[in-house]
Amino acid sequence: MTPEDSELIQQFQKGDTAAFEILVRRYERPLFTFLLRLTRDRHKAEDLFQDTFLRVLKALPRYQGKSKFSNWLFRIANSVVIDAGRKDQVRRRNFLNDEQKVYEAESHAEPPDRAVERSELLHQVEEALASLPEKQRRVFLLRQHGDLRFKEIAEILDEPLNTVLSQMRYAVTKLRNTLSAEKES
Amino acid sequence: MANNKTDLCQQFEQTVWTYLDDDLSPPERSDWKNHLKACAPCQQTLSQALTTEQTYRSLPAYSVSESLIQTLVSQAPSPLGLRNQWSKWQKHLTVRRLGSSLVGAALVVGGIYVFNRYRRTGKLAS
Repeated sequence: MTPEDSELIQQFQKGDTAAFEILVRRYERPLFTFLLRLTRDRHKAEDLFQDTFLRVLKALPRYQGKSKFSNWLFRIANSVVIDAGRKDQVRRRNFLNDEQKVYEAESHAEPPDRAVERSELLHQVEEALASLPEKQRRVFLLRQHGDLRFKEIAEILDEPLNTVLSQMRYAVTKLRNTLSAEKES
Repeated sequence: MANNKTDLCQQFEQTVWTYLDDDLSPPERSDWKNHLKACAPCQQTLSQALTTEQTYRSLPAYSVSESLIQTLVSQAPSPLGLRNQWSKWQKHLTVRRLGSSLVGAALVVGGIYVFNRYRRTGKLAS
């Protein structure tokens, strides 16, 4: 049976470092995808990923489980991104080509037609996401990767719920319009 | 069934997310449920919200390199180090609690002394 996050944290607090590895592997993909789509820079995203988990490591012995681990993790990730942004303006680099290669290499198990179709969709979504203002993109990505409720996102971003909801509304409308325009062209 | 967008429908374009999160009060939820039954544009809003999330979530996620995971795991403190860290934290808490108790006790004793003095002499200071 897969252990719950809370069990893993307790095991880690008792000295079982293998429990930490399970947590890292469990959240590696959602967290890294969130950071990568937010920054659009693989190296930057890797640094932020590492910084996030280093902060987690530091705070985990005192973690009391008042909020879900995933909420706590994405809250930390968000503040790591903000801190990094203050130090160094996030570079707007087009990472699509690099990522496309990574994705194509990873999707070799799929039938070719399906892989091409998904790869095209991925490309369109990446483009559409890139065109969103940063605040809208952050709300959208926190929702999708952190699997957070909007009340939780509002808390993490320290914004009123209605502001977060309208950012999501704009983000989704823009994504949908971009995707349907791509389909038509 | 209504086919024209009303102010309520525009409101639902935003509320749809809290509706999906089940974060509305029971009366609000029930009002929206009733509205949805009879409103085609809002049904479309709900289905578009679901489709957008499903489409996005069906896309592949990205991975970090195995070496980065190993670097992170190697940063985890050894069981002994973790226990030391925990006992250090407990010690820190004990010292803080002890400190607060001493300050509290000193305030109570001081208060009693000043009160007694005031009762005897009728003055706070000599």
